[in-house]
Amino acid sequence: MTETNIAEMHETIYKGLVDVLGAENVSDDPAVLQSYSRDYNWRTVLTGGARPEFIVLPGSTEDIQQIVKLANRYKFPYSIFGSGFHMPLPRGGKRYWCMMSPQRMNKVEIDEQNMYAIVEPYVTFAQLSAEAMKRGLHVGTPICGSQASVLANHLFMGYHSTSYRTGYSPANILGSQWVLPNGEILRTGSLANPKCGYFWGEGPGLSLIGLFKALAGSFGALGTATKLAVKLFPWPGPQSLPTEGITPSKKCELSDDKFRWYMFTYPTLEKAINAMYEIGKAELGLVLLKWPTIWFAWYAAKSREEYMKDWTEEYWQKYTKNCVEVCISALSSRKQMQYEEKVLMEIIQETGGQIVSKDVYRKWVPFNANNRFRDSYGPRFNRIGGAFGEVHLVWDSLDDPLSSLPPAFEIADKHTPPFIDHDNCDNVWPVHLLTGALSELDFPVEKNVESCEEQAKAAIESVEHDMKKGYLTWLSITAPLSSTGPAYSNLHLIMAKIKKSLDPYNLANPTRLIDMDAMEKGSGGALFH
Amino acid sequence: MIQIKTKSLPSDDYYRKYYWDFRKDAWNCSRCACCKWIDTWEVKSARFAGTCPSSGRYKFDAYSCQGRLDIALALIDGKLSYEESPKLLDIYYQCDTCGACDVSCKRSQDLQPLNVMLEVRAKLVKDGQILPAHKAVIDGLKKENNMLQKSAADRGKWAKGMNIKNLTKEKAEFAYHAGCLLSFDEGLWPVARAGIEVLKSAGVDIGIMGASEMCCGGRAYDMGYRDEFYRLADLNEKALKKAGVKEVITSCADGYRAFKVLYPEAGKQVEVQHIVESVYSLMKSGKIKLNKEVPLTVTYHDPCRLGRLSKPYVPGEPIDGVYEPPREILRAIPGVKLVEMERIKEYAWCCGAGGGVKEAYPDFSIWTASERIEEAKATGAEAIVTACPWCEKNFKEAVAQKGDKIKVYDVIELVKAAL
Repeated sequence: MTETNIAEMHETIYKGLVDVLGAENVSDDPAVLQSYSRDYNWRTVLTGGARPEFIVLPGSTEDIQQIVKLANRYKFPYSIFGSGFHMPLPRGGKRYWCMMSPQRMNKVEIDEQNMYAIVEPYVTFAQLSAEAMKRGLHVGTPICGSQASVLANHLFMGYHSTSYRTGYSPANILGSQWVLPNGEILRTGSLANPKCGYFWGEGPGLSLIGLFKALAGSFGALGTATKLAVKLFPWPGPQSLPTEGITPSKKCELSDDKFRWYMFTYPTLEKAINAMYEIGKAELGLVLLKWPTIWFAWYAAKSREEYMKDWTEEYWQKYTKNCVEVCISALSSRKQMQYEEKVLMEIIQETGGQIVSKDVYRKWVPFNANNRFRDSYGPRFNRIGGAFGEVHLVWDSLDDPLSSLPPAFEIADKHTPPFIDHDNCDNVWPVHLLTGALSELDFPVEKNVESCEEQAKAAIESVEHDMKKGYLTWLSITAPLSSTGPAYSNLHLIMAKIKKSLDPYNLANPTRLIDMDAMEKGSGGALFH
Repeated sequence: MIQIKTKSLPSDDYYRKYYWDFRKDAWNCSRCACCKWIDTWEVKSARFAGTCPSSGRYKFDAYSCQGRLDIALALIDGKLSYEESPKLLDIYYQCDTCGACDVSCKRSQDLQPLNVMLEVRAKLVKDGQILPAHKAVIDGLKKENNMLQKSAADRGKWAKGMNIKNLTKEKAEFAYHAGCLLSFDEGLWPVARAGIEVLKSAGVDIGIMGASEMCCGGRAYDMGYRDEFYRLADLNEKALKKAGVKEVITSCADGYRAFKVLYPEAGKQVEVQHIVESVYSLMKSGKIKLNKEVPLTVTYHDPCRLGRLSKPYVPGEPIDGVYEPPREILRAIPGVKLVEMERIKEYAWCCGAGGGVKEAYPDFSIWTASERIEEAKATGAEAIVTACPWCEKNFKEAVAQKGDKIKVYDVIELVKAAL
């Protein structure tokens, strides 16, 4: 195409979008586009990011349907994002790229009796949590912070503080509504049946929801979710969090009658995991976590200086290594709480756990642990070096980390420095009463090209290792299936067929999930974009 | 298990020893979106969870703090030019510089995005990228030393008929700085007059500069006109030193922040207290007694520049401000019942009048104020009370435009009624 033709096509698409949404909801201004061009991630540091060509503000499912129909008419790519934290997932890297910014789709509705909420893409966890708590209900808090989109997080790897009890978030999706890449509207679960509402997630019969949510979502490459119902859980706490103090020194004291935290350490990770098995078998607690020391440090510090002081003095390394945290909560009655407490104390004693000191407890619980019911200081992980890296994030059994973490430590060690200290980051995060767990090794990365290039090398080593072992990891899942599929039962071949049938022109977030262009050329394409 | 003790720390001092760097703060924005929301611990409803008026009104990410940081970075690195973007000035100036995003960002990222945005504005002005509406105001400021394009000679008229010392001729312990809006807006004169009456009733030795009073320069600073700010800071320091006053007492939150935070940054020193601090202190020492009943349910609006923007930032320390004195005063007034809005203190929603928005984008300014009025009405309060004339005026205009019935007061007006 000549430059003139390109400009004409741009103008044609722009006018089409304005016809659908109104001029105030469409922009191709370079400054507006620039604000959708990057994120925190090391990938963006290396690629420099990319501006889309149009930003639009749809206000409804019908608006999105019209945009998608227009995309099919003029063959332009499109994607949508929630809060904007993970931009590499929906990144404008092709001509005429249209990015949907869902700020106008911010409605939340709660069905108190049936314990679920219907959310549009721009509803945050903090908003839903606040509305739910008023009604004695609760939604999990994601590790990235409750400024995140409920809808996006439920579709993309939502690990919540309460996941031990409330599950991995994709399992909590009920009825959902999608705009498919061909412009059709799809309703899943009970919503597929007229007048049935949102109350049920799967079926009846074959359900496509599994395809969209999978283990880590489908990045909008198979369809755009416009409404999602998510499960809510009983909340025994107050209607709003009883906070004290001024940001960033806030604390929250929850009633001892309703919430009791226990923190206890073990000499080894293996012993900590064994104790967690015992706690899970007895079905104790609302929260069960085994955080790495660096997480304690980065969440607790109110500034970079405080972090560096605590870290170099090894405060959290000394007192929270192999630390298991349990929150017992009066979900049903005080008697139940007393029973759980008694059993937990016996388990701690039998497994040789050491309860942390009062100082450590007081430094942690009111300022951070109680925060897990509303928020997490997730974004604080970026303060330490400006960026963040990972070489291992695996979904498997609770004891898998004992064998899968050491090789990951070796990879991280090989690249340290420039990777920043992480004290063998060994996060173990149980879900669904221990039917599975996430294990994770991540670390701070200085936000400069040299460190991020090192992270890219480590990521490739890590994915190659995981593919060889057959691990399903964050890195292998977020890499395009066209490059990793051969290691996972040739999944890319099936996915390519599905993608082709739903999205014949490869318009829905085409740089992610699967690189159809690369497959047509007979290659897998790059591991990372 | 392999044990690694690398002691590998960041090589850049920026991450280890605190210092502020314009580009690094923009570069390190992680786009976490916290800047769009109040402290998430404090969210009490979906309706009033937002913290940024600009993002709330204009929706596109460019109008949020994180979007503005992306744009700042692109400008610094030469990836975006002024000529390319017709929207650039609107994006940078449709912001109240209220600092709400800054609080949320400090909480999660320990960055100072408001400083980045103010630096960009200063650069825009330096490069001749200015708004016509601001130019008119700044031209007036240069000529008449006030933000309202009024004659400097009329500045002291609000105090006509009051028995008060003129500091250009007489000595007093304290100078009352009315500020531009209270000086020239007749509708607000009762607030300034009430301030003087309340202070004098407690025996405070106070005077005014009258026609010689000048704008503090704070608003010019926020609009990016640094030279004007430095000029006024210099003139005010000299004039107040010459007057021989111990301290300035002001009713204007803009002035309070300028004297307290911006002047020291410019190497100037003017001791200042806000009138609510003075009154609270006088109440505690028994010199002001609030005896008369004022039967009213009120909610208090924290002005940004009396609250979160009124103290220099110390990393990790609470983002403190004058939050309690006005509340303590209201609680002490017989008959007044104080009910809180959802967004208060360091995470209060802005009134919409700051940062040059009122001057250049009056519709956006009223939209922002109307949002606050809705929040105030949701408490069931009969009145919204504040401690800044800019907030009060904007609220009054928003209430009038919407035909609302809620009343708008300055704290000092209620104090005077209770004396």
